[in-house]
Amino acid sequence: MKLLLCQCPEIPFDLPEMVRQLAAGGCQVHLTPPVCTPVGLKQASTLLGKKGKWLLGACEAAAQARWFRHLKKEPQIINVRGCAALEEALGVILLALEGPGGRPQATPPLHQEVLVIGGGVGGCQAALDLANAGYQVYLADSSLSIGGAMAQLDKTFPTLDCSICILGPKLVEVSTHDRIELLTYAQIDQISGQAGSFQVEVTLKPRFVDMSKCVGCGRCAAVCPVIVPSRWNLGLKPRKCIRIIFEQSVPLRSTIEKDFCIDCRMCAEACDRGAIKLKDAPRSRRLRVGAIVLATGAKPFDPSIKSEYGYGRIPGVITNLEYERLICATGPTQGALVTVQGREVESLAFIQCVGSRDRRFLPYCSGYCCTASIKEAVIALEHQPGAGVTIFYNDLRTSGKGFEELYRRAQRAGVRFIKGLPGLIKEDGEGRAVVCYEDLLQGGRRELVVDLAVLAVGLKAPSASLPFHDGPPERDASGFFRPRHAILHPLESSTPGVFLAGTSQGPKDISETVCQASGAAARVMALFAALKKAR
Amino acid sequence: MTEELRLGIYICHCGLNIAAVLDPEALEAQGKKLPGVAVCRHHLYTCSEAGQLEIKKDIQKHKLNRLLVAACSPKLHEATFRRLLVESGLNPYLLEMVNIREQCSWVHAQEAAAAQVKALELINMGLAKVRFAEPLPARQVPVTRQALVIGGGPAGLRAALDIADAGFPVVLVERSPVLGGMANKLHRTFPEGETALSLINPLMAAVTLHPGIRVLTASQVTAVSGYVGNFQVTVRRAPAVVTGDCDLCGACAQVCPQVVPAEMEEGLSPRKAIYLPSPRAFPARYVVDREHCDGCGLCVPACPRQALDLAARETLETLEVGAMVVATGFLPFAPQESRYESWAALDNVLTTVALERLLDPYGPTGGKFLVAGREVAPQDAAFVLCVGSREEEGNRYCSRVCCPTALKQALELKERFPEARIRIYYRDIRTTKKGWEELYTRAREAGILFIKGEVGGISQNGEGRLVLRANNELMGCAGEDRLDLAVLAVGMTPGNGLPLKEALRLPTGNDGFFLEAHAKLRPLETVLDGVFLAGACQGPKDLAETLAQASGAAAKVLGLFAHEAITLDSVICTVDQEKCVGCGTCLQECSYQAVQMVGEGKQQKARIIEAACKGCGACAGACPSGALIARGFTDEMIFSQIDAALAAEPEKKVLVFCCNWCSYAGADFAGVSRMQYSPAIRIIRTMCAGRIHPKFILHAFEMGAAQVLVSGCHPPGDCHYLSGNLKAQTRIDKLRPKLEKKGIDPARLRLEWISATEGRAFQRVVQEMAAQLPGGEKGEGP
Repeated sequence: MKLLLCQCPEIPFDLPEMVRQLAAGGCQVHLTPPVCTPVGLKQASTLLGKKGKWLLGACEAAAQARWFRHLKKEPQIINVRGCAALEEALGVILLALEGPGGRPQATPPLHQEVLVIGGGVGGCQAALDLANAGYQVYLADSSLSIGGAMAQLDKTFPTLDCSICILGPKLVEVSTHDRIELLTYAQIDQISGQAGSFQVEVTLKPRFVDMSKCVGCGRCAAVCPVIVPSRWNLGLKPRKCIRIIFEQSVPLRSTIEKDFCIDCRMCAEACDRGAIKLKDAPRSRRLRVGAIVLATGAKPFDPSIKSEYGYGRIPGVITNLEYERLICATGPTQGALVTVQGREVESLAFIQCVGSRDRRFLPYCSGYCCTASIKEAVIALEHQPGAGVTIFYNDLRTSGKGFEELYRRAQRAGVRFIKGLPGLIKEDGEGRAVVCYEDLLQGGRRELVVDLAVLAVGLKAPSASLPFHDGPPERDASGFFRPRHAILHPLESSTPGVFLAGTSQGPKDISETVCQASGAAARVMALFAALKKAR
Repeated sequence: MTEELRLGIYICHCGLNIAAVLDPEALEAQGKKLPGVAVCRHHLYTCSEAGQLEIKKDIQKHKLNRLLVAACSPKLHEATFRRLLVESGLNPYLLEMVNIREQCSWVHAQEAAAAQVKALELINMGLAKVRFAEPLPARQVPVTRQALVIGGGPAGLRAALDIADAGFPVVLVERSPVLGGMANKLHRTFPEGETALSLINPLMAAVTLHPGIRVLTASQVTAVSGYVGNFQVTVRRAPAVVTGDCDLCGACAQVCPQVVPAEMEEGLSPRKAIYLPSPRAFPARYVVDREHCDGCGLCVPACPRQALDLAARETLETLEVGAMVVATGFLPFAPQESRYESWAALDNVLTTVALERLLDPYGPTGGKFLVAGREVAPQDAAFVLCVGSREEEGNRYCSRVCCPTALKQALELKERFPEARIRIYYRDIRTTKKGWEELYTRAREAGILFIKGEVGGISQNGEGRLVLRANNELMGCAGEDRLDLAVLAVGMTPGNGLPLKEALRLPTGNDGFFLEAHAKLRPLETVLDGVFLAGACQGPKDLAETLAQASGAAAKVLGLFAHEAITLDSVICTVDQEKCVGCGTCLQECSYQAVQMVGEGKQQKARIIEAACKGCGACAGACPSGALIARGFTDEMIFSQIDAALAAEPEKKVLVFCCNWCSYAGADFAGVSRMQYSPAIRIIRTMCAGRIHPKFILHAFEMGAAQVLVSGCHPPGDCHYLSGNLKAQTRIDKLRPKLEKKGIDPARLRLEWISATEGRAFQRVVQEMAAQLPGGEKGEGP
């Protein structure tokens, strides 16, 4: 067998040395300019068309796209570029030269169903695109409703669209789609198998409410005597033990949090539909799918670790997500901008890079927070026109479409921008936050007393690992899923058949997430087409 | 309608949500007496299985042909009951939802008697409307399952491959003679530093060799007609002077006397008028630059393969496609034609794009660092960021990629010239993506100096060195910097897509980039169904984002192609040809080019292109002759709703027109939040505020309405039909003086923008209006 080697500029080892070693071993080696250039392709076609059996050492792209299918006998193509070192490449080449490697594996049946994990805006978009293209989709979410983080936001930047108003119809579209089955309050127990044929074990946690009978009227919550803290409103407003998680939730059904339930049966009596099931058990489901889209999202950084900002100690220090709930019309104060003590807010400070760009916590930029804070500052002025609003920043990174324009709008509206991140936040006698900072442009150490200091917290990778039986998708040093290639394959994970959408692979804003989710859907379809062709 | 009206009315208790305030049994008794009513029932939960089953039985037994459900908001369950009609063999549009929950029981909880009266009136209004309901035809249009991708850069390549790999034919049209777009000019990519060649060339080769993709280079889309699923596209192809027989020997170029700077190499090397556009891009074939060719003909005999035909002419080709992906990319900001002209004219000033070519071993200098013809080792080099981006005058937006590009290049320069002192003048370093911040850290660790400040000017001193003047904002002082190399980090401009904008009539934003249908949730779609966006033509993007977006656009096309025919919403407009006077008002009002004028002179009539119509009714809201019929919201429906609303005590009524998307949802939100307001409010829903014809308002006042409110989405961007809200505003502004002439106080008419979450704003506005009624303020204040 003869060997043709592509002189790819990306080959990370000494190519001439490898040719010497192969030639010394008696192998007939030819070199070609990169086969992905016209010159290289032509030379390679000519050579490979000649007599004998040929092996082409190139890259994965060449092998996948089958560039030489026009030749009478297609050469075997091996991925030399993917080898990290000379020894590895030699090994791969020698193995291939010795003949067809490995037994052909039995092909399992191809399932063209898709599991989307995560029902935030990314997961919903991927599910809709796949379902609209004719594929059956399971959309699993661990919480009681789909909607993800976007459902908790008040407005979205840069247009200041109301978040739930634009998301709500999309959630309803998902829930009423013939080809999407919603699995909310679901826990993924195990994922096994391979691209085209995964088997997924899912547990549906008990809601203690009959989903087919409940109509979401809310009478059960009205009579429930047990009051518990609400995670949805980030502890800012209590809720009942039985409740609908939020007004626009999908599915719009009640759930009892059994840990707090006192079995008083008042809800069961109040419900005229007989939907309360005080005895309920988890249910197991086994799904067979051909592809999995991970839209598991990211988690906000917990600022209490960054103790100098006093989060958790000083009542006037809140996170930007808490602020979103505070100013939201559906939030705990119905949108009134007040402090925890109930005072009107007359001054606010937004503090950027909390956790982000900090080697102690998140070494990367979280991307969304600059524009989010500017949006929040603009909304603060809409709520309280005379308020003093300051944004403390390191670099202002309004680099998306229309973001810079929002920055200018905020400047015109009177938002003060100070370059310099505070070193410390103290508390004054009345629970207000005292922001201690150094103004890097004007010079000098100063203090600013504000009613609310809003921390723009970074996004970190979700800690929960997914129960992949064999070969879980690789993660990067920060814990985000690593795409197969950062530029060429930004939507595929390292595990074939497992795709990535949204912040599960790194911080992103909503429109990027939506674009990516649609892109992941296209890659799933391409996978199915390729698998069908291969069979 | 010829058949006898057989109406079924269903009044829902919604548990106690409705029944706690209203008396459904009394409503049932009253409803039974209404004309045309065959069945009237109440049910605990009409939407439940049991409730739906009862309706289905009634439809069969009583041969019902119209359905009225008095329950919750149509936003919640209209789809549910439409499905029920279809399952019962009826047209889904023969339904009217009457919202006695959000608009009645929930908001008048303390005024049960008044609420009861209102509920019956709401049912009467619904009845008045549903009488005119017509079965609407399902709109099925066949789909031509071939896609057109416009632009052969990374975005276009990726989109074409994803569509073709899924099994659908693709035509890829590229204006320049080679594929690859701007990526051909890149040497390395960030943040990993891989060569662009190793990333983009495989895509180019795959597209070129793909049996399902037809590549038309040196071609332009000049005209587009048709609509989603059925576009006709005209493509103009440059004359094929060099035929396929060309074997790249280059003999033609050797004899060609015309020498011009090579644009692919940023003018760093010369080329002939007949030339090979790129040593590495596909297709590899010599081309003739018609602008510089003087037709001397020397090349013809020089070609050993007779592959030249100077007489070749331009050709036009028409393509039938079902969907389009616009991937026309960007152009780098050109400092030569801007206020940076004097900087760019200096010998030692380069742009980041030119530096990319200089660093490329496949580039014009073979990788040698030649500046102004001399090989140099720069000692002092500076990068200037935000050239052509974030400007007061000029491009206001951030180009997103210049920061990481400059960091990548600075690191590469530092590696080649370790002695060089490199600084970067910046305003903010925007390394927002994974791996980019590391690049910034690495640059600082490599000893690259970062100076925050705007560069005031670059000039040359007597010794031929560059002098850069800038403020150091962190040190608070101005300074002069002596350099032997300055690199301008130029931004992205939308340049490439402009001719297409006219051919497609595709809107662009203020920044000149193509406008997506919705910034957040529909970033890949455009206002034109079946036309999608990929890559930097929509806004500045890096390669990874571009490729992900291109796959996304492909998914949209594949979603469309999954069906042989597509069903479009039937609530659209149509023209009564008898009444149409051919004035063309509708043509101007339509934001979607869905109106076509047919015929000449006095015979000219408007016609609706059904597939393009979105059903907002803005045309019907302006039609002076009543010829435009907004299906589902016709003139006669709205007039009879007004009549029914104002039948009793009109002087005590506030008539409210709400658009479906924002203000009706806002009223719903007031209901969900139990915000109490006066029972004098009567709401009529339309798809858009632009549907509200002034004649409706005049009619309402003639009928004696005390107050009229028109409400829509907040301008400018919230309107779901681009600018229906502004159309409503224009009409109302014009109407006010007319009202005054008729002796109607214009203050009785209000226009308000209420978004879907502004329940409180809705409550405030209607309460203010109700306070003007005789008897003054009623209901609970905000």
